[in-house]
Amino acid sequence: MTKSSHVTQSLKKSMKCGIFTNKDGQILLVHREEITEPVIWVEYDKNNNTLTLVYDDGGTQDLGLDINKGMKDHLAQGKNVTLALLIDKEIISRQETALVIKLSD
Amino acid sequence: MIKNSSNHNVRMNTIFNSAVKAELVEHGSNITPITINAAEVKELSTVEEFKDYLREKSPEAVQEIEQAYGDHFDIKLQSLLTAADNDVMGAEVDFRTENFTVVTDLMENSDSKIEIITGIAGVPSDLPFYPENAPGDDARYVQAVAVHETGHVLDTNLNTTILNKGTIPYLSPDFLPLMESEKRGDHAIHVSDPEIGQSFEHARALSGFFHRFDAHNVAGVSDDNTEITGQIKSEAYNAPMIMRYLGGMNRTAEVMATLKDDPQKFVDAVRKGMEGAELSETMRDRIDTTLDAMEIYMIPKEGSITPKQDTSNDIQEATNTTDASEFDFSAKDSEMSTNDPSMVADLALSGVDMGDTPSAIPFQKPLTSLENTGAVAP
Repeated sequence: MTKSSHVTQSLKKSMKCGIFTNKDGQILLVHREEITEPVIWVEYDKNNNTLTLVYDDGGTQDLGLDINKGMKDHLAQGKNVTLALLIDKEIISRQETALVIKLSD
Repeated sequence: MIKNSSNHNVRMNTIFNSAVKAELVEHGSNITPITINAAEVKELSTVEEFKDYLREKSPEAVQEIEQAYGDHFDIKLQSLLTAADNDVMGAEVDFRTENFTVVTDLMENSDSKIEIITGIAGVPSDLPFYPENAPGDDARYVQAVAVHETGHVLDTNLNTTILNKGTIPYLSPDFLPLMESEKRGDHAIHVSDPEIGQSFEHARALSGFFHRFDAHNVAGVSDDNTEITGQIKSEAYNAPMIMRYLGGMNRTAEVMATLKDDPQKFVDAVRKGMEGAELSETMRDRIDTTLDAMEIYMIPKEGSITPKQDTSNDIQEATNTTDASEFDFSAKDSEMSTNDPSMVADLALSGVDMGDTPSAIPFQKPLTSLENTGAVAP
């Protein structure tokens, strides 16, 4: 379970998770355990090639997942991310959130 | 030192300040912007502290502003302190002189696309509103705000004190000059980033519909060739009422109720009423833009969220499984990255289209491409 802003490790290290993208701009972030703190947006840093969850309480958490060239292209076109809690073989809950693209510092 | 600012806010204000300077340089202006941070101002208590804060940035600017504005300098600084305390300060131009201007950057509550569009549009909170439907990311909106505010700096026809009077009454002599300056600011956005300029225009149109007494809000004109006249002002003021008539509604309450329940129904009714109606070209354009804005911002699109609600409300009931059939990652150019070898197969069984025989996918770590896994449709 991931909660609060004081997350120090990546989502990848804290639970099983994965991200799926396609050319239509669909971005699905699947997590195997509950994320209890509301995610207000997901930030994609084009320079550092990282995806970060930004929580309602101000905390942030890097996904820690590899992002390849094709996925970078999809993310650059994306607008929203669907977070899906996958338990066994069923999506139990989902949350729609905005994808914020960080261009540069 | 910047206090109480998130990394996002610091980053956005870096973009904001850079954009202000770039815009000034591009227009050959010699005015030096003294950029101040709303969160830092919030930490100040007195006008004297505020002046010291400004002096640290530029003693020459403070001297010139004091000479130019006299007592108004202190009055305005006090009002800025109050605004900062109330978290409503930011993205504004003050005290333009021959060589300097003071530009306040963005507070935490106004440094994202959603917050900027929400702030401009001013749609009543009980009505549907989806600012995330606007194109572009936070950085482009922050840059647009910077361009708009710099437009005020470059607007030599405007006394900057007008900018800082809050809501200017419809009958005030300052109403038209402010509309004119708002127009120039929005026109500058159109020039620098047309797509975001269009977003601003739509948000302005909504604001004009819901707040027709305020020149900040009813501007809604970004065509630099359009002279802001009494007629333009009058049309901006009257457009909501005319739309009500065109929609066949007798009372504003009926309009609001329809917008709350079914914005598309209101849009369609007004569009039907416009057929054959005798409207000036500018009025027709204004109504068209407002209806377009309602369709963009008040009707949910796929993936829309409702930021005014607690985001936890967007989490569907945890005891029920949800339909995942809308997702299709079967194409060869779909991508994935995961630390879970069974995720692809489980997702396929949950209803997500993952292509052929996902349960037979050979797991590789890290998985970065569906194509590499063989989990692709032919």
